[in-house]
Amino acid sequence: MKQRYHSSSLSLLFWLAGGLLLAFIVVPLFGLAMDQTPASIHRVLAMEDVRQAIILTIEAAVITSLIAQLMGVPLAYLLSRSRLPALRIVEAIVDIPLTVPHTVVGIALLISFGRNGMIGGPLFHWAHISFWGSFAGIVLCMLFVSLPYTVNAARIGFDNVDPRIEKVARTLGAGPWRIFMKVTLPLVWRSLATGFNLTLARSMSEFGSIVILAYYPETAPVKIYDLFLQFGLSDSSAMSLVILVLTLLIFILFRYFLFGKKEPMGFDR
Amino acid sequence: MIIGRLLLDSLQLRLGSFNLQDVDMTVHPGEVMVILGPNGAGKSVLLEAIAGFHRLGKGRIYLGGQDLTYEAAENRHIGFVFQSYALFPHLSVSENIHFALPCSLRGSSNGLRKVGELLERFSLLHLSKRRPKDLSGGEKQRVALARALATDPALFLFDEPFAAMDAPIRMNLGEEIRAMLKETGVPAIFVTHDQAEAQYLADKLAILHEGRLIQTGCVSEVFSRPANVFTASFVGMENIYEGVITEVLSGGALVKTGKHCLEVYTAISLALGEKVNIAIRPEDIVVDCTRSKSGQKNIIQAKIISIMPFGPMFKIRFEAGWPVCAYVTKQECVYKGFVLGSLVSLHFPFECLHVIRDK
Repeated sequence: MKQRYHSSSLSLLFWLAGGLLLAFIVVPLFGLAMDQTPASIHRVLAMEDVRQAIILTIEAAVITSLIAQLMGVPLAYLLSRSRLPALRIVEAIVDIPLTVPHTVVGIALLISFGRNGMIGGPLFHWAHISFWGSFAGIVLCMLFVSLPYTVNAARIGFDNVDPRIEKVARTLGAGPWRIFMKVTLPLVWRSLATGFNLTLARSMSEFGSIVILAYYPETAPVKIYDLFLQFGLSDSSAMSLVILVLTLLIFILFRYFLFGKKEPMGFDR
Repeated sequence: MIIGRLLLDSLQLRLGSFNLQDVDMTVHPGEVMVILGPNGAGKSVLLEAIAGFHRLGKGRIYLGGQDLTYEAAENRHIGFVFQSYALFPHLSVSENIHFALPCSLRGSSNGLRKVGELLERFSLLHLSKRRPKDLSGGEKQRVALARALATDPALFLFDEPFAAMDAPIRMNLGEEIRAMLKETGVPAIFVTHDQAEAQYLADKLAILHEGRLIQTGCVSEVFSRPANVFTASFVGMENIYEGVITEVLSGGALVKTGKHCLEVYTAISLALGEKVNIAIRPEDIVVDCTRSKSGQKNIIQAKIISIMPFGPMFKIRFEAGWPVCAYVTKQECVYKGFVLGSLVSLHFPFECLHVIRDK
């Protein structure tokens, strides 16, 4: 017979707490949706700069997620495989962006990557790359705050690959490159895709650092803030709903394609 | 690949706080060496060192006359079969085997023919498109063997492949592996902590304890003539008694152990007053219900203090001045009327008493 979980007062209390939490997440978003009319949605979508902000946000977030994969996956592999004690410090460094206030991130990036910064200065001088008020600046902010999601998701994936599978591949004559490309990567692609998805979502929602380093061109969150300041709640809330639906849609579609037909990988039992 | 013998020449390896010390071993073509040892003895580390996963501190590894000491793992031509077989979960059976082909054969018609031959040889043709998760334990083993054979290995290493298997199928799987090894003539090392498994797999047996090889020899020798007290208790000699030589006989001695005196015969020469251990396997003790006349050699009186079912036997514990443990068939137990508290006589046959020098 199945265990009846609701029978104890403890589980009842836990369900209550969990329910409150879910309501806390869903109710404000639901309220936001209820507050809109088709006409208000139509009105904001008709604005050229709103549409541009949305497209810009998606573009920047996709590019950010791709760069994050290129930079984050190798580091995640090193963190998972190497036993060097120093890598524990690296782990902590990777998680720093999760803890720093995003306005602080913006200011820190501005100091280093601004036109007079120690990195931004030479880049502007020699390559005419400017992060101040530019697409590159937006990507830079997004990358900084979302990298931990890529690294941590990939790390979990690599940790879950049975080391014996890589060892047996070596005894079968495969070198490190072949093992990584033909054995390890195919076993962790779900984790990498999850990291990509989380990074994408986090990048699309970034506001605090972007507003400092690259207010213009406006990303969607910045545009919402702009609408709120200029025209008040009605227009900004309509655009908020559009962004909300878009982000959720991407998130849900991604999860569906990743785990729709669930097939556990990595461990062979 | 030419099949030759494996020679380990005083291997030394330090891994964290673990030390592998002066491991010498020879495995001839067609021979199955079983390394038996408790968990943490360093069995897997030794196998991985032979396979090339650890840098040796000292010593050399020769295979078929070739020095492999500094060769990369991927160039050693050693078939390694891990616990639960470590098949690639994302590849089908035939892709798993294809992965192991040398670069020159991969994707070529010769390579496909070789995969086909291996599938056929291991009766895997009908499973070639399946993923490992849809295979039984026995089928996985056959894929792992076929995959390892695709590299034309000069040595096979098995790291407790049956550890996650149900007991009844282990023996069948072991027989299958032995048959394959005998057919190919490739030398093999098998690692296990299960002495029953060691007995049916091994041609030769090596006991590893705390990173050292304690004893190497044929199975019956190690099981009946263990080199020290650790090996004796590890291979199931449950009765081990400390004693002192009180009289030296020709080819043997009288040993006083507790209040009893046992007559033993051994090839090692013993001195008067020397401390030794006397060991005997539980299945070698003869248990009788008739009270013996006192003074008969190697027969002592005992009282049954526990009777436990033990597979097809009963494991009986006795109090006889020191604890004794013996196996008795269930039939014998009923026939002779052994119950708790029964007074019996225990006969320790000379030929089964083994003398271990006290170090």
